[in-house]
Amino acid sequence: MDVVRKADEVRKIITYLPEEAGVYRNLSGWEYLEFMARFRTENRDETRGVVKEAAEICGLGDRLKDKAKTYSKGMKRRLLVARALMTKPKLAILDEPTSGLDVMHSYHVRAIIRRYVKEHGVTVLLSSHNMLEVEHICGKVALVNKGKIVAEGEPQELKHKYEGENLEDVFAKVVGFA
Amino acid sequence: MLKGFGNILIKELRELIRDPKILLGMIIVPLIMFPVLGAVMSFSMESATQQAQKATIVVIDNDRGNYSAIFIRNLNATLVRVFIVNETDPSKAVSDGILSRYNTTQLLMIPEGFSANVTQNLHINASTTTYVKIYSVFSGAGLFEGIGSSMVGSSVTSFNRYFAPDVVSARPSTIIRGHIEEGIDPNVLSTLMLSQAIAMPITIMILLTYSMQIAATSVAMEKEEKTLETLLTLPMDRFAILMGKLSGSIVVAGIGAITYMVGFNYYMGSFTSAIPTGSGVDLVSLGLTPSPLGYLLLGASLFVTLLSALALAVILSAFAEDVRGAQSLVGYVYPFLFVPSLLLMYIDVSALPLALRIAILAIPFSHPVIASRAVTMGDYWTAGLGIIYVTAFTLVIMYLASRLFATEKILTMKLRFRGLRKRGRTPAEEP
Repeated sequence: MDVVRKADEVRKIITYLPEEAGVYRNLSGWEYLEFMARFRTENRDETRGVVKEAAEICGLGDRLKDKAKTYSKGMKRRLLVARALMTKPKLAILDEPTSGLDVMHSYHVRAIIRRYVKEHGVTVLLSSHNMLEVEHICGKVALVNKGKIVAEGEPQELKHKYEGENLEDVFAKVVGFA
Repeated sequence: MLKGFGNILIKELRELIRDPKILLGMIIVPLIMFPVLGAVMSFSMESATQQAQKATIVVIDNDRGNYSAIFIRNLNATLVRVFIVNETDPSKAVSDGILSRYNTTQLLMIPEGFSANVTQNLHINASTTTYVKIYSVFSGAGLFEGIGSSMVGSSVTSFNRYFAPDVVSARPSTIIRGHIEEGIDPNVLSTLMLSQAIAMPITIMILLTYSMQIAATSVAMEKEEKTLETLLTLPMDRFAILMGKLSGSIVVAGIGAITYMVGFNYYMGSFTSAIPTGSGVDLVSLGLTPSPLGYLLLGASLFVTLLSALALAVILSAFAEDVRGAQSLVGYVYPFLFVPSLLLMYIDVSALPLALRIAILAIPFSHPVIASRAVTMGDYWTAGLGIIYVTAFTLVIMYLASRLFATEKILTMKLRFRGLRKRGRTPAEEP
């Protein structure tokens, strides 16, 4: 499908989480999810189902009733990841889903992504500078240097090929600074 | 001395002075804005006074005696041109269109027995007085409306000063839409219409500035809080984002306008209740309040102007990176709101020189003020044409705004102060 010519069609089957995405400060987490869900659902029941799903994904519990301006950065990110996955898109593009998060929130976000891919067959295209995170979550990896793919394959395959202890090592060797 | 104070102060000044928005908004704009406003005010005053001085007056002399001739000579000394007509009945003179034939708004009638009464006052009984009747056309033209009839009034005073105190009194009446309203002083009427002359432009100014701020903030907030990027990836009509933003701003601004008008009405009411209205002037019975059609046109004019202002604010804020930037950009539109409103507060648009009149009419924000006057005077054409013009202007702006929202450029566009040029961020510049 041509993403430029058929942008409207493409938008229906993908979701996107920008690196610096924000939430509406004066909406509660629940209202935000409802607002986003309405663009992709047909009726009220379907919306409610999707939002319930998102509530479960993000695990924010009763805090979803509070306004988003009271959330920590990690809570906002969990809400946004849930937003990107709740409608089970064919492809979810997640740009640095854990950047700037503390250990607990990062752990939770990674767990969400892994579980969702496994349980619902959603394809996730994830971009990250954190090679350890990439190794932990991704089934297939493309290393990009100066805008070009320099190596591609499964994490184990790459580690074996470039004799690296982890993907960070592999990247350093491929790019040539190690 | 506080430790570190000087260092902080120098840093603050450097930062503030180097911010082009502050420099422009706080220093350059006021330096231009206030002289322009001053020029507008003095121009309005001067042109109203000049108009009155250049005034032509039509005189009906039903006395044709010595003193009426002296009175007319005295008028000639005060006013530039005095025309004496053969008609005897002021109502007939007005309905026959004599005033427009001589291009004047003032009619003076010297009653029969004027000279006899003045003679009696001077030689026999000082308590005998007489009068002249002054009829002035009321056009709802602004705060200086009464200057013309005041000039005639001062001519009566100078006549009295020459002969005897209070020998002649002026009895003012008003001509409204071609009908004489006996005993209605145009000055009292102007005072009563003050709330309209001032309230309407001020209300429109505040309503428009307030709603533009709301609209600009709402778009800039999406950019600042990084929610716009997500919004643009959703399967929805881009035009819906624009319309949603405009409609939301209209509702909030509308509520603001109603609250404001209620408050302002109360505020103005506290003034008008203090004005002595012994003449029993009633605006409703004089037909000087808008008809239902008038209100409808005024509402339509306000609505389309509001829409044009909001669409403009949305476009401008699309060029800003954050809320502060958007508010500064919208601030550049304010002179176009303030200058016409202030000018029209004092003077009628038809009294302006052609070039200035075209400039004022080209600014869409002038039209609700013009419409408010026009509908009060039953001139629905002026209001209607204004609505058509502002609607066309709004459609163009809305089209531009929708084109802007249809592209991804809205995420990266910004105005640079050096050269004021638009640019898109290239991938190489991405952090």
